[in-house]
Amino acid sequence: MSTTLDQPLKAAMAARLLEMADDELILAHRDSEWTGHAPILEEDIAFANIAQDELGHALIWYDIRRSLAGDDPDRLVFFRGASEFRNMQMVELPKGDWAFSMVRQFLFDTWEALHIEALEQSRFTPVAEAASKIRKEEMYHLRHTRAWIRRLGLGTEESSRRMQAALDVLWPYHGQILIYPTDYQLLVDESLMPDLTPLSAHWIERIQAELSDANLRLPGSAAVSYTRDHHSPYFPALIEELQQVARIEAEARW
Amino acid sequence: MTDTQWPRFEVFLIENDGKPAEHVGSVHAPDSEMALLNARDVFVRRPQCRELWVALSAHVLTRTAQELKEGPPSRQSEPRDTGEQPYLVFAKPNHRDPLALWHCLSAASAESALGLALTIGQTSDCTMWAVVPQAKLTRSDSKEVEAFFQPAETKRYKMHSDFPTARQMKEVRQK
Repeated sequence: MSTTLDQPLKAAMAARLLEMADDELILAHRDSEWTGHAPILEEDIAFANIAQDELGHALIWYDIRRSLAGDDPDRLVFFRGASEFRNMQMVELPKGDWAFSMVRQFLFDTWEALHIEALEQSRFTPVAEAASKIRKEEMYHLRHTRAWIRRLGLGTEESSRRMQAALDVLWPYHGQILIYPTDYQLLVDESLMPDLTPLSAHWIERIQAELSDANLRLPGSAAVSYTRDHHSPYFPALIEELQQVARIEAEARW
Repeated sequence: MTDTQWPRFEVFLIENDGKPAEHVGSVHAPDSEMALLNARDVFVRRPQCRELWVALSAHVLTRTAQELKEGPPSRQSEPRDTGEQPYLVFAKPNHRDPLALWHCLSAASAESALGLALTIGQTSDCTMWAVVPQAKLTRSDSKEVEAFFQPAETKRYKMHSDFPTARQMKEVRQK
């Protein structure tokens, strides 16, 4: 285990942590758009909890990045331009209907469960320790979204149709899980970060099993080609809303 | 008007090993598994908890002290009773304290479980009772303690005065 990194590793780690933090931040924002609008009160509370957890995870990764690269998380979140964010497009797509948000959360939670487990094995102590804290929350998220996937997949003709439609839109983005910084391999070689290729294969297997239990199928549609510095047309409006208060009052604290 | 709500479940919470299960409120859910998940999200985001129970409200018999004065519970078995089963009897000892687990006993019906419990416990100040057949309770799995309850331990309540937002808004307006 180690608590410090040499220069090339430090830069690679900081770049990867930014991607991980941005994924969590943007998903948290989309999830939080359901607050006050979820199908029932209990679920409104549950999904707001999940959004808050994901935001907390983002802060954990931004904080570790700060210890390596020195940049303040608030500056990163509130004063970067939309094109400087490094999240996947999958998490920035509009929240859609309840089925869409549940399918997205399910795909992400299933990934996180595997990814976090692998991160707990990191030789970089701050990452391993953060992962073991996050893992407990992620176990619960997955429990929650899986319950919804089964009920909506096996529910009515309408719920099943909406779930399949959500999958058909979201699945072409799944390959984005495997987009990482060019120097990421350095981290894998030093056992600081996991090799994502076998992890991704495992992820797809798990998803396939869960979906077939819910009578849903993975579409065969072509993958969306993508890099993490290219965003969807929906993204600038999201960032504008997220940054609005900070941009009006730069000294605001909360 | 038709009720489009999902069925209601009563929620009972055990804070720690030393405390009895307490009634904390209710949630709506399509089934008992979802009821447990909803109960966790509504009642255990922050407080301490080691176990949750849910039961369909329709399976819970409740009686207030006033109702018992008007008609004491019947201890007669109903003809359709095929045998005894275990019941959990909850009592609210006074206006302040929660409705908490009081007795576990076997009886032929919920009514008769309550009647039996009233003969063996101190009841003078109790304001309310609830009786649940043990078989109708769904409990959180002890294997899931880590995912269900441990995250809450690191989350603390913050008073609204802990946030500088209101004062800051005033300052912004004054500018």
